[in-house]
Amino acid sequence: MDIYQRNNITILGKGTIPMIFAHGFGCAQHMWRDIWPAFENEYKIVLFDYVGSGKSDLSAYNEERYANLNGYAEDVLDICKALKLKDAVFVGHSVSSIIGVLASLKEPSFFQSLVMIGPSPRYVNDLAYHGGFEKKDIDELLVTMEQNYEGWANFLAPVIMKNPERPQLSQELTESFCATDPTIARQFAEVTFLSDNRKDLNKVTHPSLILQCSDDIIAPLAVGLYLKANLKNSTIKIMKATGHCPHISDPQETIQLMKEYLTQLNH
Amino acid sequence: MRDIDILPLLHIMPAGCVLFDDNGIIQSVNNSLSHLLEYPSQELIGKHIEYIFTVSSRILYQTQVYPSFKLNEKVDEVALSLKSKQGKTIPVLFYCNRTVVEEKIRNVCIIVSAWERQKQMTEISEAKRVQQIVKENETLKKLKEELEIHEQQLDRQIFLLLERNQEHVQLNKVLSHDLQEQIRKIGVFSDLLQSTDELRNNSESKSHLQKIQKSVLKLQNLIRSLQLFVHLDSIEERLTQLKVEDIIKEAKKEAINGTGFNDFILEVGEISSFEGRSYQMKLLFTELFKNAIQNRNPDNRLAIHIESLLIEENMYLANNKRYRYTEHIRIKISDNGDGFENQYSSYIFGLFNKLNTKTDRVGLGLALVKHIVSYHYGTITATSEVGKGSSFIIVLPILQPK
Repeated sequence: MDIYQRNNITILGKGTIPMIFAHGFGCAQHMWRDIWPAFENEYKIVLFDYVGSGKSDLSAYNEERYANLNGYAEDVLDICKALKLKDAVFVGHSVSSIIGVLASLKEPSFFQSLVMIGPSPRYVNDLAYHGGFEKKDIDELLVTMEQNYEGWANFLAPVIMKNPERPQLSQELTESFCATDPTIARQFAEVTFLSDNRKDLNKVTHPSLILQCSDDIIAPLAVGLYLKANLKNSTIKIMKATGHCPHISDPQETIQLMKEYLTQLNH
Repeated sequence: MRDIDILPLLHIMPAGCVLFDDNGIIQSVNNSLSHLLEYPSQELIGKHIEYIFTVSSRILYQTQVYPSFKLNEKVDEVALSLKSKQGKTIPVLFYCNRTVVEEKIRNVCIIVSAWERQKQMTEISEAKRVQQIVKENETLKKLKEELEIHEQQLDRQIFLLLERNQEHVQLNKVLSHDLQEQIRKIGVFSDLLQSTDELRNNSESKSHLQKIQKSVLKLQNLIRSLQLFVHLDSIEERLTQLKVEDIIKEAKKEAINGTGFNDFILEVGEISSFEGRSYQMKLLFTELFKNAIQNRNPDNRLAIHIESLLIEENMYLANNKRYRYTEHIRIKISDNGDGFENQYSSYIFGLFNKLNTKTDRVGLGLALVKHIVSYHYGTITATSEVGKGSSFIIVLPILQPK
């Protein structure tokens, strides 16, 4: 199986240290378009789409494999193996932060550090743990998604990326926005929002950066602090950026915090 | 005809209209929207646009609508739900544009209620579900046929395995008896020869004879190892919850007895209990320790380190289309020995393959280890760096398949 094609791998940058960017639920690799250029001189940039998202090979989708975040972690490991990556900086948005955790437990030598943007080990509240949602919210989300996919309205349809600063890229990065297959998107939502990986946090050995947005309903502050308390060797930065996608809403702050952290880490 | 001033009409048009800034903060709402939401408009201004959504719609907005809007500067016909002040859920369609008006960025949003659409969608979903059930039924039928074929394949494989097992039993008999007997005889007769006068005085023949005797010893050693390897399958050992710490202690003793070497440090981290066969597991650790001892670096005191971690791995090992992630233990056994080049990382597990030619071991230890790991439906990999040491990573299911 050609992993390059399966995961629509894009390799950019002039550096040698690998930096893998992993998109979250509902996105694909072009989410990183305002972030990766800031690292292209020092790093070897690896962008990809999970199987089922973006321009990945949908025929490689396996309902059993992707019914578990470990299946997604295997995508990351497959890519590291195919590209022979070692000591990579793993940058994960949202659910990908936890996918990175799982991958790092299985193949520690592939990774150097984990950068987590809006991470959450569990979205649904559980006793004293405040994840931010109730199970019924997630059930409703799945229905709402269905309502968007079943009909004519499709804001997820393929679009040509606007990228005025880098016209040469607009061609390559012509993407379908999200998983266009409703069944896959629904399963990804289910796997993401019903996941519980709290027990894996204290197993992590790699240093990690938690980028916590202000006012993020998907991963509220309490969740960020929970991660900080349970991840050894972790740093948390509370961002000025609001919402769940600081890499889109405030790329500058995201880049600056990542750079500060990585400089500190490697000195 | 004079243009009618459209601005006042904005408030009464049959659609909600909302303006918000790039941070999502509501700047203005029309009367239709505040009426729909049962909020006075002042209460909405300054709030985040998410404020008017239900929780599930907020998730969808944050994960899909907002990124799409940000990248494309517009979204059309998104089905979302609003929550009114009284807690009523209102299905709506959401349209949004990002435009610059008089040098100011305006995110303009139109919201129309969509009760009928929701009803229709629910019906479509229901119909789809029925379709799904029909499809599942068909899939089930197909699966049943496939199962039949698989069962037949499995039956043939079991048949072959049983045959193979019989051969193993016979091979074991040959190894343990017939072959050994012949070698014993060669030994006995060469001993007899050695004591004869002709040989005692002929140094050349004497040296030939000694070579024969040395080979006899080697052969006996080889056969004993092979026997151990073949024998392992034929012992019936019960699965138990292993007390791994105890097993490691015993294995250490055996490795010391077997090699006569005890000048090493063994550090063992916390290891969760898992299901397995205790004799085989002891053998596994013994062989790994012996391997570390044999390949130690003479310049350093040997240190062996064991640590473990619980992870989820796919329980299917041969069928690459099936996945079921179950709890596994990942045990890492590392040493500071001689190490080897990574190109040999699978070679070392082969039967009678050995990299270290200085030792008189036959090259069976790691093959035995791999055999035991496979017997427990696990995997083993090795990585190493010459001069730095080696690491063996064993991944085993916490519970053995029934």
